[in-house]
Amino acid sequence: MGLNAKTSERIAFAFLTLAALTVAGFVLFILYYIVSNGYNAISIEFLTEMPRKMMTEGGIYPAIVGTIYLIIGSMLVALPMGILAAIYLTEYAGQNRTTWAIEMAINNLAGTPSVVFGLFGLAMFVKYLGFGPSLLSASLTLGLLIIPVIIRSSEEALLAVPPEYREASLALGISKWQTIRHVVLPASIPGIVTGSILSIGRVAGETAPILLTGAAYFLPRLPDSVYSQFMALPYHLFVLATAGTNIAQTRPLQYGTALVLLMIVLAVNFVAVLVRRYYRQKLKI
Amino acid sequence: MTEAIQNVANPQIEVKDLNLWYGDKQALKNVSIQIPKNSVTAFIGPSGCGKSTFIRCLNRMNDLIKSCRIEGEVSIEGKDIYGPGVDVVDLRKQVGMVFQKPNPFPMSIYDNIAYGPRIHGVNKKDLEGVVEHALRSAALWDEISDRIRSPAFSLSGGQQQRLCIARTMAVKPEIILFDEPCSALDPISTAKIEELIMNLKKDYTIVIVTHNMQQAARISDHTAFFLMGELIEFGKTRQIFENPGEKSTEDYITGRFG
Amino acid sequence: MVRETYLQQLALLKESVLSLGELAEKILHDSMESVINLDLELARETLDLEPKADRLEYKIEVTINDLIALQQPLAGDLRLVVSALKISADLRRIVGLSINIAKIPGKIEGGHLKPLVDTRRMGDIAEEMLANSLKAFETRDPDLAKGTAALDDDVDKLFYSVWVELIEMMAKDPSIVSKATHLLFLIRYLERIADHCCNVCESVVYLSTAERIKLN
Repeated sequence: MGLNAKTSERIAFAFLTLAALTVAGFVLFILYYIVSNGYNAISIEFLTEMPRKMMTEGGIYPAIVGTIYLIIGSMLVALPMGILAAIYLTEYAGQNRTTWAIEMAINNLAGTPSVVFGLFGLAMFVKYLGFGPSLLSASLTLGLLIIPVIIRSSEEALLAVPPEYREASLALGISKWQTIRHVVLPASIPGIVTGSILSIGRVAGETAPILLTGAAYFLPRLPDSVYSQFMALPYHLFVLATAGTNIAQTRPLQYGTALVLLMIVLAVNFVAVLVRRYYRQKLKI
Repeated sequence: MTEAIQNVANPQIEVKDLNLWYGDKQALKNVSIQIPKNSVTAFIGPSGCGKSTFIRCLNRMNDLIKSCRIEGEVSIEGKDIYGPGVDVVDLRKQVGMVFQKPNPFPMSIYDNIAYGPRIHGVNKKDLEGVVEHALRSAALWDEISDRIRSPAFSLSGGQQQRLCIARTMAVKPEIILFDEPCSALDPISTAKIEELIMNLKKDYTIVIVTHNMQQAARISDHTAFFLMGELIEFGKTRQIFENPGEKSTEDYITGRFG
Repeated sequence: MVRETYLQQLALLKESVLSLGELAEKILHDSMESVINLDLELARETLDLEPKADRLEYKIEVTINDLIALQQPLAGDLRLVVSALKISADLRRIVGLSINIAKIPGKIEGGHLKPLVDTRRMGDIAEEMLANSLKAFETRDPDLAKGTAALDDDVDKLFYSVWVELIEMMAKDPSIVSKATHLLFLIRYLERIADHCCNVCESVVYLSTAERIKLN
């Protein structure tokens, strides 16, 4: 029969390389497209001024600030809850029906479309709890959206901590909770940080949930409390590119906004990578 | 069974009719033994004979395994460690354990040793003395005293294992259990650990599980042979290796099965 | 993980010790025959056997070295190795003493002083002791070993009676001193051979029970 090992190896290798190059090519193309179209729009004024004349002129300052607030707010909601839940599930929960139900719920949440989260946030936070369309409602909604991701990655990070550390600590007469706090958690921080990086990108880019829970169509000032409405980059981009404004005239602003959004996500990722590396070095070598 | 060991004058650990199951599978069958104080007692036997399972009963590390069920009595200094009101955390302070693979924490050498005492509430200013004492007792101080702030992973395998022994001693146990402590080490590191273990019996009661029969012969005062969950023979090490009482013991130590 | 090579080496060791034993039996027997019958031919043939004993002893020593260095024998195996080492040394001494006996016929001219009745009995007992101690070794039989060692008393008694008899004969007739001295040496050799048989028996008791006892 046909192919010898060497030939089939070559063919497989060629296909794999082609697939990898295609993916990389698309990413580079998108980056190039956005940067080349957007960088002319970038200026100090664009980054630091309020939008004017129904957003056809001026900057996107409130949208930048709004997006950063959203990242911080949703992380404050999701990180503690997600990590604590992950600790419970990996270290304490028995293998029973309750645990199974919780795991299933987390899997389903991870697959739920974000607009459904938006509707839930609208019903729960905006209406029922009376937070109104606000930074708080939007942060809580986005927080819920990313909790499954944080739980999953934290669980993996906790499980990746060698069981030998736990054994060693317990054998010293250290209680379980002290063991988790002093040995397991520090050792799993790099993994948890990696998981959070992924969710930050998601928070920064989501449009549907915030559209329903507090993002303003046009609001030329900064939010002054957690109960204020706010502007955010993805929604701003959506507005510029579709609704009632002059789409052709704001084309450069759209690309500029997209570029800024991209840069914020990259910058946050970069910081997260530094944090991760710091902890890895502290732990290993 | 060998006559000399039936009744130890001053047993620190007394086990009576211990049975242990993992789910439906019985891993220990009616084990009774008395382990004398300030001596080295070695447990030998083929893989899966229950020797590791047995020593993990002595500091209740088997509690971590959910399917594990235990019957019988294990007392240390006359106190039933499976009795009601026993604090497992306190028990493990009294009965330390060193594992098969060196498992230092991802911290500095100093913090590895200070970890236990610190959580148990030793003063910050006393801590340095505790660390130095533990490192000296583990015969490690002279090799590494100039770099105790460097990561524990920078040590060699043998040094890491001695660090783990020092870490165990730092919480001042009375008994130290060794679960195949040299199986991942080269002969020279092994020799150092063996020498250390022989010196430690002045201050501690040592129980060691080993695959290496020569090791048991070299370092222990008493040797117990396990086979398929049963304690086949327990006696003075010299006698076990020169003239065992049971045919299966002889067959095992002379390599006629295994 | 049954250790085939190791078990073969142990079997080889035991076999070699028994071969050396057999050879010692033959040399002892033939040397006694040659000295009693003053058979110079047989004596020379016997003397020629000594190098064979050396080769066997060497082979045993090498086997033991290998076993200890490479296989670390324990328990019954350890006792076999230790006793084999001691037994082979005793057997080699028995061979050496028998060779000394086989040298006597060449030194005695014109017949014995007297019929060697008691001396012959000493030789027979020594041969029996040697045969039985080897059998005890082969079967790891401590009782046979102890019974065999008990025969040493008979040898000692015969030794003293022949000794006294020869001294008295020499005192009466100094001209026989040279011949009588050879006979004194002969009984001395036989007495020593019996002692070495006792040593073998001690080793057999250790081999089978791990007890260290003195049998003579």
